[in-house]
Amino acid sequence: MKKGYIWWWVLPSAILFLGIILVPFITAATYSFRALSFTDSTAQGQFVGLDNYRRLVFDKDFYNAFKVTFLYMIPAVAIQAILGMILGLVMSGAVRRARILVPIMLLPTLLTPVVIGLVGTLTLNPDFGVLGIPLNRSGLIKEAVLGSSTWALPAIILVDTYQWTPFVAVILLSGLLALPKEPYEAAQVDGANPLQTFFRVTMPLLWPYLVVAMLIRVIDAFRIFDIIWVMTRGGPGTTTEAVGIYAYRHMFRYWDMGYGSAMIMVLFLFISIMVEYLYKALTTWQGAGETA
Amino acid sequence: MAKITVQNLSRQYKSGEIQALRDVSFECQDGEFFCLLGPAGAGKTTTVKLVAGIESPDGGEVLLDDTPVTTTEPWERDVAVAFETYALYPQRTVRENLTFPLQAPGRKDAWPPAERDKRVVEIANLLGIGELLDRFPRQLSGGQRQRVALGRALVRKPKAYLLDEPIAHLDAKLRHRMRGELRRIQINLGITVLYCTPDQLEALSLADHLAVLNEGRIEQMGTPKDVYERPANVFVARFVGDPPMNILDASVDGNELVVPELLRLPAASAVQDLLARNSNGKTVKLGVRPKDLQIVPESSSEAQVKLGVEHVQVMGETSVLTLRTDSVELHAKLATENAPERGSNVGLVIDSASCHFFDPETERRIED
Repeated sequence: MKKGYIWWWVLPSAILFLGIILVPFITAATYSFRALSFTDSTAQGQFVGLDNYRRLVFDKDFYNAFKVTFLYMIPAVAIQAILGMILGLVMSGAVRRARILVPIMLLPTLLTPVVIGLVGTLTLNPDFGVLGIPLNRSGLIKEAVLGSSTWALPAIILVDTYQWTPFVAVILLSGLLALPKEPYEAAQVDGANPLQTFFRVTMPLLWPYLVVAMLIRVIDAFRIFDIIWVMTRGGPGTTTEAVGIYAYRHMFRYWDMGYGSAMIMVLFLFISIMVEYLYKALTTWQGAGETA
Repeated sequence: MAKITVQNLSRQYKSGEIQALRDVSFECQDGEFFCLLGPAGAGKTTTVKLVAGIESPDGGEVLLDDTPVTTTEPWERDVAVAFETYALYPQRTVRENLTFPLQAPGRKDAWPPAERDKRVVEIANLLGIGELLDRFPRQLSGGQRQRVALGRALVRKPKAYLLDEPIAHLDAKLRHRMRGELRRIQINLGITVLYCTPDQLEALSLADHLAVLNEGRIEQMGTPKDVYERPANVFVARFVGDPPMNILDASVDGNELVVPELLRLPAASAVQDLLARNSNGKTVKLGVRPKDLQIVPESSSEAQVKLGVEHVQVMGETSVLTLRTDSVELHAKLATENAPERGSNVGLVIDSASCHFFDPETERRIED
């Protein structure tokens, strides 16, 4: 067979990859170096070097968007990791007998975030929401939850947790079901209590799975858009305006493609560096990935 | 230290599909080195787990010092286990792995910190892992990990030690040394050891008593000498001893034993009596250890049969010959200096007094 022939076989997926990933990415990358706005007749796509990036550096709202993203991401991922672990442990006992539990548990994760966001909005409505009414009547939160600059972000974290905890739990569950039995038996003979068994045996053996789950969640959380858009559109004020929302506003509200693209590029770089660093930090934890 | 008694133990897996143990009973005396010998899947590890209390039997009892412990939790039984798969705590150093059994809840009081540290260093040095105390399991080789696993069992002073193939993954030289060390430790400390191994040589050289397990059943129990000299059936005969015993179908013809298409050998009068009394009169399975096959020159008048040497395996001082006719393959063991060339022909002499006889149907030993 001629060597060149083989490329025909890769062509379809190559076209797909180029078309839907590489081309948009490169387009966005080139836009970020241009002045391109549909609402500004002086910005016709001329090359402006690093102007967009320079503007970003002095954009207070952009920093705010980063802050909001972190204020949402850190508690959300932490809570999902802990709840996911608990749920995974509970499930691992039951799931061997009832496999059907897994898809049922995954339902929130399988639904689109827009639906989950709507469900969250309705649930928290102070007039007819299942959670909104008691919160309002008991006087715990007097204002509408999503209209409160204090409670809007926690509400988003809550809804996000509702959607993604099962996902973390299922990854950990698959890990738990694959763990070797002997270390547990050794701990039993050694007389370890359940807490010691968890921290000496389960955690270190499960760590690689937890790392994967958390990395996926961090990347996802950093790009959050739909849940926030449906629930608060970034408000009240800018209290829930994460980077994704802020970039969307500039690109598709103000139609400033150049500036929006620069934001996307910064976000992309930031995620890449953070993931790389996080991955190293997490995997160098003692014994990670080893089942000695 | 304590006596371990196991009565009519049985255990199934996968709801009865696999019968791991069938009615196993044995007694390991206080201060005794007791071996469970058997091929993979024979039920050795299952027995250890049941004695340790990691799993519960489907039937039968486990007793420590005549006290039933079948329903007692593992840590209350006070036995130590060395696992074949190491089962070390991955994110703890060797020192912490060895210390943990001494500081687990409920045992803390028995081991004040100073004494505990001393004990750990003492055991580590005994096992030759003294320099590795501050390493993590992932930084150790397989053999080193196995010694840590063994150390974690030995560090305590429990009623009994259950060692599941504790030196299987060491290199040959170290294994030989550890075998001697284990036996020395066991005798010096007077400890009770239940020891699993698939290695017949290990079992024979270490054990006071041994039980040969096969498919969840005990095939034979006794001292190493008993088991080697008087194997209870064909399985034991072939499993114990290396190379395995030659088993030939033979029939009795007057005062001769006839192995079809191979040879006729005169039966000693004791053998004639034995077979007359116990066999169904006609056929037996004749077993003869490779070392009992006498090789003589082809031309010798003693030779009962002439055979071609297909293969010569030199194993140092001794060599193993593979002899073959069209239908039979025999192994003979002899001093290397007397070993013939590959491809040559030799004469063979079998002395009926050195033979073992088994019933052709039940494969049980025929004896007085």
